Amino acid sequence: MKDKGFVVSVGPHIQGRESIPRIVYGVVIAILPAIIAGVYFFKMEAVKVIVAALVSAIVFDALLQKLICKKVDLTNGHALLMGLLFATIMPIGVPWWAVAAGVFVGLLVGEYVYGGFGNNPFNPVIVGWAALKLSYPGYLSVASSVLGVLKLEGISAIVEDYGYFSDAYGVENWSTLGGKLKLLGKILLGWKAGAWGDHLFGCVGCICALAILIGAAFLFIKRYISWYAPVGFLATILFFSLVFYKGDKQYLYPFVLIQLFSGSTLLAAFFFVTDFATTPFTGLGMFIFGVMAGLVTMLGRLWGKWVDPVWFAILVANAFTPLIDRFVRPKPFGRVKSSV
Amino acid sequence: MDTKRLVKEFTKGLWKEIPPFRFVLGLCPTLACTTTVSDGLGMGLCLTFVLTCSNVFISMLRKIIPDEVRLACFIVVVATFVIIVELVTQAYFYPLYMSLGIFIPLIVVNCIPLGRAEAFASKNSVIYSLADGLGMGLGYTMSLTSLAFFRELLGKGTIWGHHVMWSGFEPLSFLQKAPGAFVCLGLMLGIMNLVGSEK
Repeated sequence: MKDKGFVVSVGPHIQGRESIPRIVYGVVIAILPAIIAGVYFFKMEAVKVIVAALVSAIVFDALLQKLICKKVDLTNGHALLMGLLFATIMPIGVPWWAVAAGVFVGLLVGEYVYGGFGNNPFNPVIVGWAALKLSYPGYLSVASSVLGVLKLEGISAIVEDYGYFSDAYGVENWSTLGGKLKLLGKILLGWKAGAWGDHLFGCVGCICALAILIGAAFLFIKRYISWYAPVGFLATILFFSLVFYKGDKQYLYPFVLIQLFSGSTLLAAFFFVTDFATTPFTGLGMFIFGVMAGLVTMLGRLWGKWVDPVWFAILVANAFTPLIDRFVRPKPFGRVKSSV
Repeated sequence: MDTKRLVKEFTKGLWKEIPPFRFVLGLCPTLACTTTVSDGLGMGLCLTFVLTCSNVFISMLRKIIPDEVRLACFIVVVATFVIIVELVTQAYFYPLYMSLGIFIPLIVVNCIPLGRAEAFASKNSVIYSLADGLGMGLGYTMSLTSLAFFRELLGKGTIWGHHVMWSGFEPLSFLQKAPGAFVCLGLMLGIMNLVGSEK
């Protein structure tokens, strides 16, 4: 048999070229536009955070692999992704040692105590973020980002006091479709310096919605993520911001836009709600997961005390993943209802 | 009296059966009273006193206590010593009394004195019960102090209230909060299991 070139093997017989490292590198490529936008908007401020996160992620990943007696293997790109994702959700101005501490706690408590890459029930990036948020609320505060201003001063302050939308696209213009599109475009492109006085503030990767969407489109085209979880997440946010909006009717449109297209929402929707290890397996399960994360996010944003609880919301939803997987089971192939 | 057995009963509480790490018992004060080394040490010593005395008394009374109401009797004995501890700390160690707060009266319902009474003191003679209570208590004190050491050092940058870290150090203060307590305890449990399993 062997001479004639027959290979006898069990299925699957057709295999794709995808592998876990390839997917990880794919996500790394997808996050790059957001990183580049962060560097473009924040210059050195962003570079500092990114370098700190990358270096510490690679060093601690190697160290922890050594510590749990695994062969040190950095080629799967996981440390790279951890560092980049961690940098995207850090506000600028976080000192390097805090970033390093967050990465370490995230890798140790969020990942390696469970056995390493892929075995973690909670997203390690967000675990590290949560440790920093509880330790250094001052550095991690996003009170002066767009969501913070929205939460603390209200949408009318953004429009009237800061006059951000009114320069070229005044209130009167939002009624037309063209005006609506222009405003959408402005929000997608990112918050330019001078929006809130002279100072521009936000998380490194959250500043330009368009860059995140480009990365997300790449993930969708490569089919690394499916639409269930992001749609559930964004639809919930849209629903809450439409139904429970309490302010002036004419500012509803920018309010909804900010809720949907502020960077952290989109980043969460395409990079964190769709994480492989920490979200449910089935389509319906993913949808439920997204709705749950969106629900907690909006409860916090509208009625809670946190400015942007989206990361905590994902941690909460992560905790429900095993439960969702237990109740939402895929139908076995070829199964029919038994008729007696 | 067997000296070898006496030593064994004393030392088992220090490592092999160290209460919070091996049995995962008495976690409430382990989580709540370990923000500073002085709290951890104080709590541990309070519990050591209560445990040793209650072990001795229950062992003395073990032939008199009827089996049907033994738990109630154990609780009465434990509660007596807890009240002694509470009044003594209130009189002589007032800062400790204030910072431990409700957790001193709560020693009454701590699993460890009751567990040792049920599992050991009610079946063994006075001298062994004394060794068992002392060993378990000191083991508990050691665990609390070591946990508090890390939480205070990294979470506050101090040891026993003295600054020991460099001047620019900003503490990782989530270790001082409830999540940090769980994370620290979990990591220490993991390390203890790792060390234990290699034997």
